[in-house]
Amino acid sequence: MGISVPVWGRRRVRRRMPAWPCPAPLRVLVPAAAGLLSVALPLGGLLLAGLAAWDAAPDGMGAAVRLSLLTSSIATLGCLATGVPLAWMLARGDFRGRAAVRTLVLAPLVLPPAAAGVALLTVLGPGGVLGRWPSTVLGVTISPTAAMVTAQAFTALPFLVLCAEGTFRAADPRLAETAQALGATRGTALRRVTLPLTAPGLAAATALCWLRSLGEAAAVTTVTQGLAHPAAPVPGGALPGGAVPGGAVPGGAVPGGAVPGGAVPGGHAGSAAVTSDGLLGAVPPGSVLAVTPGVVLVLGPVLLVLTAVVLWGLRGRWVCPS
Amino acid sequence: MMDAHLVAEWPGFRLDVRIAARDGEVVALAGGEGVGKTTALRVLAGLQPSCGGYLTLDGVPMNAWPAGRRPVAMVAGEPLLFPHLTVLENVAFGPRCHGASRAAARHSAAIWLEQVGLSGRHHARPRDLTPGESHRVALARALAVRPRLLLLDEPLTTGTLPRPRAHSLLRHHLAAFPGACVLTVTDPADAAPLSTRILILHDGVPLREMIPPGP
Repeated sequence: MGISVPVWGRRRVRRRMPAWPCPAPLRVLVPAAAGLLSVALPLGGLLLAGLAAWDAAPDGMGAAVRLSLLTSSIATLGCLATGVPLAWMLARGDFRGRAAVRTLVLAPLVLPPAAAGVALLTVLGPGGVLGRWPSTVLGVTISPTAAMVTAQAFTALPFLVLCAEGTFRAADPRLAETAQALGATRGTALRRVTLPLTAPGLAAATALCWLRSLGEAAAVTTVTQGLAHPAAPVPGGALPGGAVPGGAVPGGAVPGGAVPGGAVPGGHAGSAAVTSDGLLGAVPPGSVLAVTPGVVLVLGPVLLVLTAVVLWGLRGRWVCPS
Repeated sequence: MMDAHLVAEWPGFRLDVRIAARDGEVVALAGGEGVGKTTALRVLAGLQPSCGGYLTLDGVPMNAWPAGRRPVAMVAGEPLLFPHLTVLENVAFGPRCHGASRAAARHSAAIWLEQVGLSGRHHARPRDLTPGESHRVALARALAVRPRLLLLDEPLTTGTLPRPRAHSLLRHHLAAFPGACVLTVTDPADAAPLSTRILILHDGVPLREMIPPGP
């Protein structure tokens, strides 16, 4: 029989021996299957649509993709530099307020991305703490590309911290201690014991963080457009769009902006629609790209496959470390 | 020759033990859970800061030395082998850290593995070893740094060997060890065939000292 029966109380059935002790009851199986289908069907549709639209990639997509690849890589480096020490502190540190710190760091995970964009604007915008200082002291303003990197890092950091903390927790600190007792310096213990033990997990955390920042759109759009059009009341326009996950495209945030939000068919996985929009919103003002749903159709499936590969490699370890 | 006064303190507990051992002597610290046996070993190894007290090895004060520089090796209750290294690499780790070349470290590791009867398992990974084998590798890894003082935490409670066999194996492994040895046991009677002196601890202080009859 090729069908394996889901067995209660086991995450993975390694041996097929207890094949029939207690299969999931139907009243659980049916809604679970419905939930799975509601995810699988749109994603499958996205893949098929992407294959069909592969040849019809619109002009100018290359530039947008290159920019996004560059900024998300920079954002990932920034996340690594700050997120790994943060994850280390959360995993190994024993200090008051650790739960509060973790809550704060993980908040962008569930914050609507457009709200994250607004949050960043309050800091980076002309009136913000970081926005005002360079413009008054140095006479420069934050470039849209820099803002894009910040927005990507802001939304991707929780993924890196979550995943890296799990990795650090799983690595036994007594091993590094043992290495030091055997005569290793702190550096040697780190290089020859701790790093080799945590490297796979850290690599996965990096990949996850990079993917997340590559696909980030709403926050990027809100920030870049908010900086480009300071006069536009961002919160009023941006939030309703982004607040609905996978719903309307937050490009509508910018009055008369380059992004025709309605042009993206909502039927093809909202997350992918947001993606192409982010790539677009990222383009510095002035170089207006003609956006078509084609961008979504081509890039969405690519990101989906990349995400699937990374998540498969993680085997859920970033959600429940052990 | 090892001479130590071990003091460690945290809320609700204070360890205060004096231990001296000549080369070739085996001192056993006996007592139940939470009497401070393992803490005593960790202070000796430098893994736990001591609050006062002293430690001299061959007349050289060692209190201020970090764990890695002390000529002390410890085998913890769990073997704690490096899971990403082979058995040979695990044993070669210490000599390598002490400046031996790669080849020399591997050569001496092979000799130590032979000593504990594991010459055939150089390239095994720790996860493929039985608990008994893991402990022998951990012992070889500790001996490979040629310590002056060897610390064994509960060497008898691991593995499924019958006691007489476990005793004779451990005696065999320790026979060639030139320095002093401190080990911990739960039951003083367990330590009798192995040790030259038994210190029974209670709440961090020695209750009494016993000299077991010769084996």
